[in-house]
Amino acid sequence: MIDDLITLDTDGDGISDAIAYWDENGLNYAYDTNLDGVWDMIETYSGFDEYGNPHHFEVQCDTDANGIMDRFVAADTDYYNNTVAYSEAYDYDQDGNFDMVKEFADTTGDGTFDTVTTARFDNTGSSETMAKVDSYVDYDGDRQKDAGFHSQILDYDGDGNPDSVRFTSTDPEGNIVEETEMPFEDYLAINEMDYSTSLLAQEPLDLGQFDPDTDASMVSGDPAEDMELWEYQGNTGRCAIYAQKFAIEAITGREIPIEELVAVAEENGWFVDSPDGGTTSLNMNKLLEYYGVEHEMSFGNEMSEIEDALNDGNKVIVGVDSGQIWFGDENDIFSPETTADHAVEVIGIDRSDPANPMVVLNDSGSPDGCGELVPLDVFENAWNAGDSQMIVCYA
Amino acid sequence: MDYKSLITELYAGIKKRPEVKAVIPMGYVPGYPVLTIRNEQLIVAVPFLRYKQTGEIDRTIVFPIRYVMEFVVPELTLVCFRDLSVEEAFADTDFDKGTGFFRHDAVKDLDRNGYAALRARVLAGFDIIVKSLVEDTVCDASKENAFKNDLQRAVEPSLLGYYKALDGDFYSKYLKK
Repeated sequence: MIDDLITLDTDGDGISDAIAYWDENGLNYAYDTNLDGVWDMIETYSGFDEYGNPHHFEVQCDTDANGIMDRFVAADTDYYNNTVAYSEAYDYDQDGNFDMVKEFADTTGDGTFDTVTTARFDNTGSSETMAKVDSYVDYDGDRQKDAGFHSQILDYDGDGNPDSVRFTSTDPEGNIVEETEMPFEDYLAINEMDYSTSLLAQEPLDLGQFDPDTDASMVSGDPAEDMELWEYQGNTGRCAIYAQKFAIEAITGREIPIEELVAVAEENGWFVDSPDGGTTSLNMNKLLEYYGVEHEMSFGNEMSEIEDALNDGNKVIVGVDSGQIWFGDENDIFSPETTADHAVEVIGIDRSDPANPMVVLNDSGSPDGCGELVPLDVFENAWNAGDSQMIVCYA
Repeated sequence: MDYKSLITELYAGIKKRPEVKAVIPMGYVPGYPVLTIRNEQLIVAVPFLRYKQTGEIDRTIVFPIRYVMEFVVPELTLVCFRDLSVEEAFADTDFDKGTGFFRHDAVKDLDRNGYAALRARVLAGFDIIVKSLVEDTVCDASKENAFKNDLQRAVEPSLLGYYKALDGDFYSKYLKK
């Protein structure tokens, strides 16, 4: 829940460039550092003591101003406000997964960092080493490495699942002192099931994106424009929140922070923010109502009704079976029962290749979901799995 | 009233029922039902759970049963809705965490269509059992055995504990090997 939103002019030029607000995470400051109308840096203070001093501090930055946060910093302080741990994380390729995390820690509490840990992740599946963690410890406080501890998570058979973990310790010169290796399942009791449901689990396939230069006369809707509003939901169950965000922003022209939408939806009981929670199909339009977007929700619809709505300049939200969208209809990969488990915005139907009509989606569930192209027949099957639900938002 | 295919018809339309659309979050699907007799009334309990496809063969993640809707037979009126996450018996269950993979060994030889045929056969088996219970007739033993075999094959082994917790009698009679 967001309380007491305050608008700030941090550089005194008479133009508002920041907001401050409280939510369940703590006290937040959101800055628009380049005045492009987008919050590109968010500071969060939490863990307040009885004197009002925060002991945890986080910063998220969108360093290239493309709307996706890509640099993350966190720091913890002790009772005397000495920094005891500091970490930085980077999502270089902006796929929603960290590529590098660096952490500095003061484990002895003498006010000096004595341990530096760097973790690098290969989320591409192109290398045998899926993750590599290097820690260096300065035991005597002379700011020199006294020992190194390294671990690698390895995927020997290239199936995308970890097979083994190798531990190495090194002396100050970097020579190996000891090396051991163990099956991944024995490592911190993380088994294959835990792994499969973790952040590192396999991402959906990249289905290809709509080309904004496509002949507009062959395309229903305005996908090129709507693609600009797409965002990735990461490892959350917020698809219906994002789908409504895209439509609300397209129709009202007003940008609404995702955390505000989540807070409103949670506060009203329309959404549970956990992987096993999400949204019921009858609650898929509640944020549209809340933000005053005129719309109509219905079930058992036909493709032609989506196409008509797009041709009329309206926005369309649907529920689909994500397995069929992302992984196709292979005969050996399926679930015992299908249903709509995912909300997306349909932003166009591309008939520029009449033999292969494609549905264009703004799909927040895939890192490649901006203008995602899905063959029309695959889309129809995935849509029918959920009683062909459609919400038409009137422009 | 014709009681020939009560369960098959219930499952054919269950996703369209307003109660389901109102309280079951997107992504949850009906698992195989449980038959219970309570206060001399036959109840069909429909469990709802999630599956998550990973894009790998036989690596579709099976999550724990989270919700149960109970319908009185033969009217199929909803009489009870349960969220197992708030029940004491399931306090230690992590509903975010997978409990197994699909396809399990017993159905690995079935492709999409083959599995759909098995599922239809299991639901038709439920129809036979329900019809005999509603009409208070003796169920043909060979048909009951065939149903048991199909049901035991179809239910994911990782969910058996949940079925046992939902109704020990049904589990003992139809699912326990």
